[in-house]
Amino acid sequence: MRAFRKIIIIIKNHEKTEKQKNCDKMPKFESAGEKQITRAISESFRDVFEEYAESDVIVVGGGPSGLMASRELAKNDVKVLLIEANNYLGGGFWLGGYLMNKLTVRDPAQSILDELGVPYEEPEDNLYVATGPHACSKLIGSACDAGVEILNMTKFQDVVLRRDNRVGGAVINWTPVDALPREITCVDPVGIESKLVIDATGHDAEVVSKMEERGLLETSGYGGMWVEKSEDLVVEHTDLIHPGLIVTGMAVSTTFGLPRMGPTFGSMLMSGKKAAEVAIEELENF
Amino acid sequence: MNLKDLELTIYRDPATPELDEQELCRYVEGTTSINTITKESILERVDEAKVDVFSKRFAESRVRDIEEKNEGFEPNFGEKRFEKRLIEDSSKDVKGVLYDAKKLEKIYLLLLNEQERSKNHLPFVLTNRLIGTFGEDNRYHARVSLYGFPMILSSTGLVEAPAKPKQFYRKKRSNSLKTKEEIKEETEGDFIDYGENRITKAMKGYLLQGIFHYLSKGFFCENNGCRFYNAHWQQELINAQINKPEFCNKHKKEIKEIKKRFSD
Ligand SMILES: [Zn+2]
Repeated sequence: MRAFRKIIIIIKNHEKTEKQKNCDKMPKFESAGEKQITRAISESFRDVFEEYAESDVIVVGGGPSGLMASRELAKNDVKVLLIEANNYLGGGFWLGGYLMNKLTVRDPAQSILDELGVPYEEPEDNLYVATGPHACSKLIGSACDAGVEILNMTKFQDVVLRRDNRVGGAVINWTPVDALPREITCVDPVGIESKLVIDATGHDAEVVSKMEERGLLETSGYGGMWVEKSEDLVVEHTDLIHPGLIVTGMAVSTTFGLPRMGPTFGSMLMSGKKAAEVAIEELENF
Repeated sequence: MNLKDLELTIYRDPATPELDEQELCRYVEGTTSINTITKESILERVDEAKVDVFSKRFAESRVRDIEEKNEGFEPNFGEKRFEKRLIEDSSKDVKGVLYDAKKLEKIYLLLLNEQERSKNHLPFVLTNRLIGTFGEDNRYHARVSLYGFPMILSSTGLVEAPAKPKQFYRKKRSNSLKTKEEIKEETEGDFIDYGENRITKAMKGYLLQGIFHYLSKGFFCENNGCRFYNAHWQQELINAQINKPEFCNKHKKEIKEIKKRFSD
């Protein structure tokens, strides 16, 4: 399924500046015209888009839990498409608290850092500190290496429903189109299909909210859970919330009315991993 | 009914291995001479064909909003799925969900057979589920026990219902990354935690309270050192259920009388 992946790197040979003229001894890139560049980009994009109009799993949201879930799925040869509303992946994973680029995880989440090859320190027993950019870029790289396809600047708008209101895909549009008032843009969205959708949209729980809006799902109110018992209710309650729909990461908090927490990245990573496990089990019975 | 025919059954909870039902059984017999037996988890009674029905009923008994009385709702797919797993594996720890105790009581009653529902039978269901009742202050309060039919004793309630020292919650809020153990070390004041053997010892008092309730004896005691004291704080719980002596003089006497009645 990844056979079509082509890596095309064409960099246009711009007009030479004074400085560049001095560097004539440097290796030169092949020259390519504008049209070739455009064709290369559009062909490659079209191939992916066509192929992924139907996938096994659509992951909505490219923060730590969504990336982790996608990576785990792709590693298990699941055809997975990750859609992200921003032009960058990683969500809040680049930064820790107070805009400091250090993030902390607790045992056993360091095992995921080990897996990703992220270096960390252990200032206290069972408390691990890593650098945000290092951890985030490794996670993104690892997801890409595993074969996750990514559509960024792509906004989830609605669910695609199958028989018995089973979730079977997503209606998407470009983020800039989605952000503009309806009067200005009238660009219709498109639908993409999948066997499962994972809501990894953080506190907004966009997919779950859409289901609620449509009257297909009713979730708990705020304060519906007893939080003292477990340090990790987010991981515990990462699961199918509706046929075809899995909820992971901070979206779990919203869905089950858990209080908002600080940047507990360990939980996000573990939750993503669990979401993938649930998805794999579901796909086997699909 | 002849009191001597009374049979007390403790339905074990495989999800709380630290709650030793055999020890509870020995304790009740030794202390009161009431004929006591233990049985498998009540969840084992759920007929395979009825797993979905009971999953739904358990999901319906959950508290979705602590400040709103559960007057019935349609549980979602995820909630039913959660309960199904708990029924299929009764040793699974139930995390983070609070249940309306009175709704649970009705479900457990359905799982008793006719003989077990008879008057000379006194059933105690041990559970890992956290139970609560809706109070006059319009919110749910977690509880250790519900003295109904059957009686419900919650091991999670033992840890969660009596409040921990105030300092604990303050520290917990200010540093979400610290574990309970670390905060416990820094906090003055003891509390009973998951996995501790003291859970069994503390639960004995709640069993006796249930028996007294059944025998229609007023069961809360003013004496804070007595097993019949209604503890609201962990420190009080430890004082009443763990520390010596076990009973105040009045209850010591009453227990003696009961023992005499059942052993004669
Ligand atoms: Zn007393």
